[in-house]
Amino acid sequence: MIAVQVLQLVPEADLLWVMTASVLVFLMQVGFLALEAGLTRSKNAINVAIKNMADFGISTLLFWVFGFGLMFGTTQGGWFGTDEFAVSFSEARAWPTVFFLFQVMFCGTAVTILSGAVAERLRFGAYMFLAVLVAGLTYPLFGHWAWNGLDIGESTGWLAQRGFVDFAGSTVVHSVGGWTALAVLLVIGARAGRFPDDGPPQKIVGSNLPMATLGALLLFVGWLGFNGGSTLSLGPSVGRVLANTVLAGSAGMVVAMAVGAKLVGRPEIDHVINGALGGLVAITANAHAVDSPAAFAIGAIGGVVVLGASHLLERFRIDDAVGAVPVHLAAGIWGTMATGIFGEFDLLGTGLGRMQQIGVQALGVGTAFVSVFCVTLAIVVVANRIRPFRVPPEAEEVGLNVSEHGATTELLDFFQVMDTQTKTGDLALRAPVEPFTEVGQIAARYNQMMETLETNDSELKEYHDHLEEQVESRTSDLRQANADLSAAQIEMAANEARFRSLFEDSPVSVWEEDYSRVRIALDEIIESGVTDLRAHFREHAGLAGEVGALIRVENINQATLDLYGAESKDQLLGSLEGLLGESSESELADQLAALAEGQLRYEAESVLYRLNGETGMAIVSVSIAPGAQESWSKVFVSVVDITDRQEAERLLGVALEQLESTDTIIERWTPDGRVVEMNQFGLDLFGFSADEVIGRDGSETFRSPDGGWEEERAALFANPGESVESETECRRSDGTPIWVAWRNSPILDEDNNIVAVISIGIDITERRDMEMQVKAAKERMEKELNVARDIQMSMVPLDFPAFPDREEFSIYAILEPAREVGGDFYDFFLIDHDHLCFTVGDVSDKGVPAALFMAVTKTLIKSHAASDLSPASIMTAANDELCENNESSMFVTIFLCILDLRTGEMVYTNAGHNPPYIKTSAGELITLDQRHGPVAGAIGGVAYGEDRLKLTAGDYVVMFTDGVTEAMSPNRELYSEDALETLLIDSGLDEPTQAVALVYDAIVDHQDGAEQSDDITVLSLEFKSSEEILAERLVIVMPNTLEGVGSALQQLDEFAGEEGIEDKVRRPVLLALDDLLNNVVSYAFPDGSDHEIEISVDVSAHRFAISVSDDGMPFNPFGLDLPDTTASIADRGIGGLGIHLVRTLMDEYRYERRGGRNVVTVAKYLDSGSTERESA
Amino acid sequence: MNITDEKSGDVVIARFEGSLDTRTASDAMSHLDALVEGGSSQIVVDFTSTDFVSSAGLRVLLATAKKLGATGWLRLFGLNPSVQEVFDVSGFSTIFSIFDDEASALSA
Repeated sequence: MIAVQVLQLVPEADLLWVMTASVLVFLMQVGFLALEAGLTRSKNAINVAIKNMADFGISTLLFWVFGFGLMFGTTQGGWFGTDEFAVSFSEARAWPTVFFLFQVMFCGTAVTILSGAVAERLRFGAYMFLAVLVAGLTYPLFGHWAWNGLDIGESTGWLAQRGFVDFAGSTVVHSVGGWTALAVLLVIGARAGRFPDDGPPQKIVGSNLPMATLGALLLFVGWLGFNGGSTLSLGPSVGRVLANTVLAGSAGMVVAMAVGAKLVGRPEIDHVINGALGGLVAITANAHAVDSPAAFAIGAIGGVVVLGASHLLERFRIDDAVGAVPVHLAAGIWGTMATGIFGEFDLLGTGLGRMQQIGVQALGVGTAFVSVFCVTLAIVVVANRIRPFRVPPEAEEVGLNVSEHGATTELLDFFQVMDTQTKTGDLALRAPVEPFTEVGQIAARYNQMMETLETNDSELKEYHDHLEEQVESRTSDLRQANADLSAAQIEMAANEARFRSLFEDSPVSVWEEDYSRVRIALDEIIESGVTDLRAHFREHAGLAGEVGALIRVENINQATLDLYGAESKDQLLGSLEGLLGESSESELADQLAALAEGQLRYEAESVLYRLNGETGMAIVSVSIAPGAQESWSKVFVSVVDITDRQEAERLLGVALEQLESTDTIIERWTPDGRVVEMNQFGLDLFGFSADEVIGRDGSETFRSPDGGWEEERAALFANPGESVESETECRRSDGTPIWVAWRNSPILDEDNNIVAVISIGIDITERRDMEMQVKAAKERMEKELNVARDIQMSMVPLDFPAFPDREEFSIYAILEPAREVGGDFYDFFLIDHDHLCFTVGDVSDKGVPAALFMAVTKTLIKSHAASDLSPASIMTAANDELCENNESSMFVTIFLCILDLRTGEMVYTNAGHNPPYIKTSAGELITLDQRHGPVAGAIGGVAYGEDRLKLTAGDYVVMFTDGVTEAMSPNRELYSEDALETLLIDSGLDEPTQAVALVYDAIVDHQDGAEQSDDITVLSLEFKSSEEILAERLVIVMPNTLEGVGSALQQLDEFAGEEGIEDKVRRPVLLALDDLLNNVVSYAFPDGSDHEIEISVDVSAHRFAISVSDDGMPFNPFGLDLPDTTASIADRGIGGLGIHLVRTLMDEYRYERRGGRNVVTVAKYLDSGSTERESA
Repeated sequence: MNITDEKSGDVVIARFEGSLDTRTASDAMSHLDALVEGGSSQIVVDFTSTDFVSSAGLRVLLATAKKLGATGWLRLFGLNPSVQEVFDVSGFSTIFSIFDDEASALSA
């Protein structure tokens, strides 16, 4: 059929257009890659990328060999093609060649649609199988039915002959890919965690949505070639096709975005992406045959169809990782049907009526369902039985990058998260926790720390805000209180002055009188049996006057002189005689009776007898002075002339007003505690009435008995004349507590005795409450600091003795954190049996960021040390990694050592750290003061140096941080290197614990109670064996043949015999060597080439070890599953048994990939038997 | 490895000398194969002089046991502690009949 076509001349412009379109369609491969990689998690990104690339290669080759012929070769009854297989292209066949090029891109697209849907759990091999199935069978077969003859403008496929129209492949390409994806999804199931049993579906968010969006846009661009090129000529129809394509894609995008936003409340990126793609898929079948409004409608509905289909998938718990089924299958079906609904008859050119056309479109859709979905499902169900399509759960957990392609990115991922966290300060970020790796453990720890920090952070923030608020309001309160207090003080001073000047300057007449003789006389009367004094006075006329005559006037003020018209005080001092009139007898009787009944204050209106004989009316008020309640030796009498009543009332008002204050309690009380006066504010504040308070001890009403009142009073009387300020707890009448700040000022008599106390108080309850809250908040912050410190401490080894079963050395260290979390650390670990790595470091900063930096540093050192025995090289690599992403410009000083425990050789490097000391067994002190490079984390690309030194038995290494030498005494002197050196020279060392304690105690002494300003770290190691304990070593080099195995076993057996190794060690080691070599010889070199295997045998006092090293393909024999050792003979396989034996029988086994070689080391411990050997 | 056979009625006693490992497994296999093909269905292996047995050796014994199937049997005795441990660890002591000495192996 194509042979006929050769003769036709195709215009070069058409060739150029279709080739250009091919390139655009090729671009869709890129688009799919970016889209899918962006919508999946980064742990699978490599797998997604490889799939998208590999499937293109596979589909191209298969399509060339087979698919193209099947699809476009000469038809056999409209069912399949019969020629054009593995066709060779030539200039003479320009059109078929270009046509092939275009079609092969289509085939690639159909295949790659699948990859996104099944991402994150499908085995790579299974995907390749599916790629072969689609490119070699389902796609070309269905394509034949719809498109055969396309290249020569004929419709020879059986579907096309019935009038099925699918312009650029809504069904042929997109639905075929979509049906395949759906079939596979049903078999492999959802990704772990997508549909939890006990909760709503969990959205698995893509790793890089901008990249996904870029991919979608690339697809959009590629689609112009996909649809545009399907015209197969550069005619006038191309413009319409392209415009319809752009229109429908945009309509799908906008409508899906809008409908999605309406449904979930916000525009979501996947709605935008998949809506656009849905619109594009829908228009693909009919871009040539509809007008613009129809194109808009088809695209818009396509977008909605995608949303609906996504919802359905979720409902049926089908997990399509990128939404390929909704986009390519659902929108593809819609587009195919839309062709029947909207297609213009003359452009469709099928000669069918509307319903007939719709019917045949439906037939096409149904055919695809049966021939692609059903067939694929059947094949996949069977194939899945033979070899599961899905990766094991652990592989899914780890990510397909690692499990399928051996790529590892966890350190990178971890750093990315930490970096983002440092930049954004977003504590909600979590590092990916990849199980079974050290970085994973660190990440888990890091997350745990972040968890604590985040929880605490929000609380802390709250507390912080609260605190600030409190401090602010407290400050203003205090300021107010101070203002109040000084106002009150002024007022009080005024009060004191008033009391003092009452006498002289008062406008009121005041008398100071002595009633002591009156008191005695009254007592005598009462003792004589009189119970009712008033009646007694009535019965004995003149008696009251007689008693009243006993009153002595001590002093009077100017107002008194004025009132009575006296010239001098002398006229009124002494007896009252001249001032009494006819009514005085009854007035005195009343007054004396009242005082005798215990009243301290008596007030009455009485007749005023002036010296010139005039009379008037006065209010006489008598008060027994504080301190004179018993003796009545001092009594104040005020006389207010009320002859002119109005004037009198005014004067009284002034006196009262002076005692009132709006917001200050003013109280006057007597030395024995009785309240004489309290202003209205005070009474209101405490909720008592004047009657309840006045005349009673304050502790009966508003003073709490144990509120600090007694101490206050004691302080007042201990120092007469001094004011006392205090805060005491008082109570309201309802029992609620109220805190009052008092200023208590005593009033003294001439002998400096306190006669009264004026207390001015301010309500500080609210301030006090706030102070308590501030205190509680401070305690909380203190606690948070402790949490962070605990985390720091959890990052350094704390179990001592650290290596109880190792006799070659002993190690001890302490890390005493300063009050804030600092950045010190130490670490030590065995790299392998013979190498100990130990290190001390100090991060330049403090607080949580320093602790994080420390954690990273420690991790880097440890991970590099696992495969590297050179401190210089470890430091160089760690420094480079620290420098990357070090936004905060922190750095760390590190001293790093690796000690060969067999020989005592210590290799070390110093990155700006305090030089450690070695105290030799001879008592000499060596300072390791070589510098090997700058502090780590500051400058990248530095090559660090290293030095070596040989330790002998009894040598001590002492390492420390500057918290030791810079420890400060109370008068701020540093401890210093000199002091440390002297200490180490002068003191004997007999244990690392003792050495560390020696240094630490010296610092504590030096600090002498001063607060520790920096973390203190001290590490000490004692090297114990100086003799080379490596007794013998044998190296065997053998070819990778079974004969070689025999010879190696022979040599080892002889060597063991010479060394006198007893059978129970020799036999298992021989067995282990046999099995290990067997493995290497059989599996390490699949190409059968000749290689050398090296075996090194070490015998020490305690251990018989062999290392087998080969340069074959990387393989960890200990990573295999264990065999079932309980099966019966018939079921029993032998695979993995040798390794199982090695694992079980050996005391040590490990695998390393070192310098491009597999190194497997196993060892068996020698016990008591070996001692005999040594002594023999 | 040296293997010497001894007949005791219908039973063949194969005495293994040396160690049963990668070096010797194929010889041992062909020796036992020859016995089975020659009609011996009751075989006792004497391990008294066997130093150690590796997984290659276990493979030989397993293959022989499978060949004998239900119609015959394979019995073992004289395992030194190291060999016994290998049988225990691999689970082979539960699927083979192991005896302390020749007499009990023959009389069982």
